[in-house]
Amino acid sequence: MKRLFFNHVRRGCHLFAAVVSMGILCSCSSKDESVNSSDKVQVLVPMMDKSEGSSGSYSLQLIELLGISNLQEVKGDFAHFVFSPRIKNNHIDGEAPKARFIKSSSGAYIPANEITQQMVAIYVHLQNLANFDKEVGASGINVGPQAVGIGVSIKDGSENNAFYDPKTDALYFVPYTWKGLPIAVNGGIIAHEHFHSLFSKMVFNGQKGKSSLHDRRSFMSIAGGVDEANEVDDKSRFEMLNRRGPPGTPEIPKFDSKIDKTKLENPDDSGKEDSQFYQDYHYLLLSGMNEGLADFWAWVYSGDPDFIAHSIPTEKATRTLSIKGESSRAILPDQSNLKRIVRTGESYESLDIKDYLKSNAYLIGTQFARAMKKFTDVTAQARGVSNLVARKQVAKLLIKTLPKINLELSKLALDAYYHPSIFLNSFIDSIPDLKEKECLFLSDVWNNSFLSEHRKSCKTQDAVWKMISE
Amino acid sequence: MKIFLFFLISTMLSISLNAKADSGFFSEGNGVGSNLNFYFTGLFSRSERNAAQEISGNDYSNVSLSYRLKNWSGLLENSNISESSGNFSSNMTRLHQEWVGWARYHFYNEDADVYQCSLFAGIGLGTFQEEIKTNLLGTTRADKTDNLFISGLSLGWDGSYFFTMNWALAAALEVRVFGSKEIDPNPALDEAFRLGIQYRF
Repeated sequence: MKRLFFNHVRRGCHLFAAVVSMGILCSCSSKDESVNSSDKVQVLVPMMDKSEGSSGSYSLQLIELLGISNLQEVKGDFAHFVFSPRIKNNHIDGEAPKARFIKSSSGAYIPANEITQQMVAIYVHLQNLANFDKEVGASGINVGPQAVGIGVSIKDGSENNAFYDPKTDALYFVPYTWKGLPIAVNGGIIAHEHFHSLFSKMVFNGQKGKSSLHDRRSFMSIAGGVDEANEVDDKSRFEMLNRRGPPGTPEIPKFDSKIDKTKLENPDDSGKEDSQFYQDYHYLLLSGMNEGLADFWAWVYSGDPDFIAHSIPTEKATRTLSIKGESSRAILPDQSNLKRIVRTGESYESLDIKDYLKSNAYLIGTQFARAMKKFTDVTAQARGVSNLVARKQVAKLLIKTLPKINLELSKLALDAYYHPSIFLNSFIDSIPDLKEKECLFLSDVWNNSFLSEHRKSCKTQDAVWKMISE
Repeated sequence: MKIFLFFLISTMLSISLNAKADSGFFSEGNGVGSNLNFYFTGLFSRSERNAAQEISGNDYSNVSLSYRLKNWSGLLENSNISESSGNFSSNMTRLHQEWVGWARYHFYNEDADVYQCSLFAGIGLGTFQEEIKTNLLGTTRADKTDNLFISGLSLGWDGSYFFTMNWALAAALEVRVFGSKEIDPNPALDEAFRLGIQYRF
């Protein structure tokens, strides 16, 4: 009897153990990675307040992620992420990071750690920027989800930066170690980097090596060191990186440190300039334009003239788009100034010419950014529209101008220089219905900037204002 | 991993239920009698994915109460995990609060005048809730999950050293595996070292 009882107990325990084990196994499944296209995915994201008069403030907002196919990797129509990436065969390579969320009782997904918050913030901004591109005529320039590297490790230990690499057509975010708003959450900086992808494709036809100025060189050096099979390709890529001139520029000769110092006194004596000077000049101008117009795009998107200061406060004074007083006169760099900068750099034999030009390019760029911003303010007044509407209108004009820069560069003779005045002419040509105030502003910019060019003034012709040479 | 655990636990349960020996492995545990353990401290670590995307141990706090009768014991534990990330301007803190009840079978027992110890295997079922406190530029917001299901399997050793007739210092060392759709990794490996006191009835 006792034996029979224990046999029943034993069988019952076996059954219980099997049922419970199956229950445990059933719960031991992978986190649900896929999201149906019809599922609404709302996430908590730090976002800029975009209402008029509130530029520069951030708050936590619930935003819908559009086109998401894999929430655990925050992968979808607008972005896909790679953690601590390498470069392999000219492509970004590495594992997708795993995001961590909790699902609140209201059904929203809340990032549970810093990296997840950065992934969703970048995705939201890229989805917004893609929609903005459509509105301003830049759709089809960037195709497919943007590749984004996060937790990027750079050989020289660079931190607190982000950059766009045209070679891999990817954005890279290095770790942020300061106390401010993390760069990966800063909508203005993300818009700045996104613009580099537009500039690269529309001005340089996506030519490899024509990158923005941020610390790409260090990143590429570690990437080249990893992939031994492509060592030869990486060396030639570095040579291409050094070729900073416009399309069609001949090979760079060996840098000659014994520069004739009388050139400093005669910057316009172009007859004695070598191809190194020619390439340095164009590197300075085009990199400056790329950076400056990217800052302008960041302001267009965020509405914040001090977008960069939230994350990199040391850059506020030099990169602010908001200026007052005597210095509020908007001017663009003149070709003579640009040549003088290059000659100064070349006259110092021990100076790293690349670093020198890079730092000056940001100063050049800020002039472009401020002039474009002021023009937008004038447009808002002249057309009686809100600042938000004016920003979009001027962004459309800039998108129309970028292919014209490409065209002008391709028409240049080998010894001819691209001047900032050519850019301004191209921009003005993109405005079909120039208003009087806009014309007066642009003619002021022209006359204050290009002292060696014919002065310009404004005149109406068939009820349309035009800028003409005096 | 899951298949291995299934067969391991099933096999151990089968062996233990067919046990015949009276001491050591598969003893009936008559010498143990019944006791109550309160584990108030220890070292606890659970595998979680870290910021570098690697699986590493995350320390947490735990208190538990167990009651044992012969070869069976039940244990109820409360675990808390807190993890912060971010910087001064933008940061979040994840708080994980968990209650799990365990049913354990002690398949090896050793019983002497001043000490007892045993090896056991167990199955746990429980619930947890997570809260995220997100801070952005001085403004904080808290979000919570609903109560979520979690289950586990354990293998461990426990022991006690008597300093009076009824009171003992108690310790336990366990390896556990937890499963839930809401955790990463899933399943997650867990190690627990408990310290507490025991009252023997």
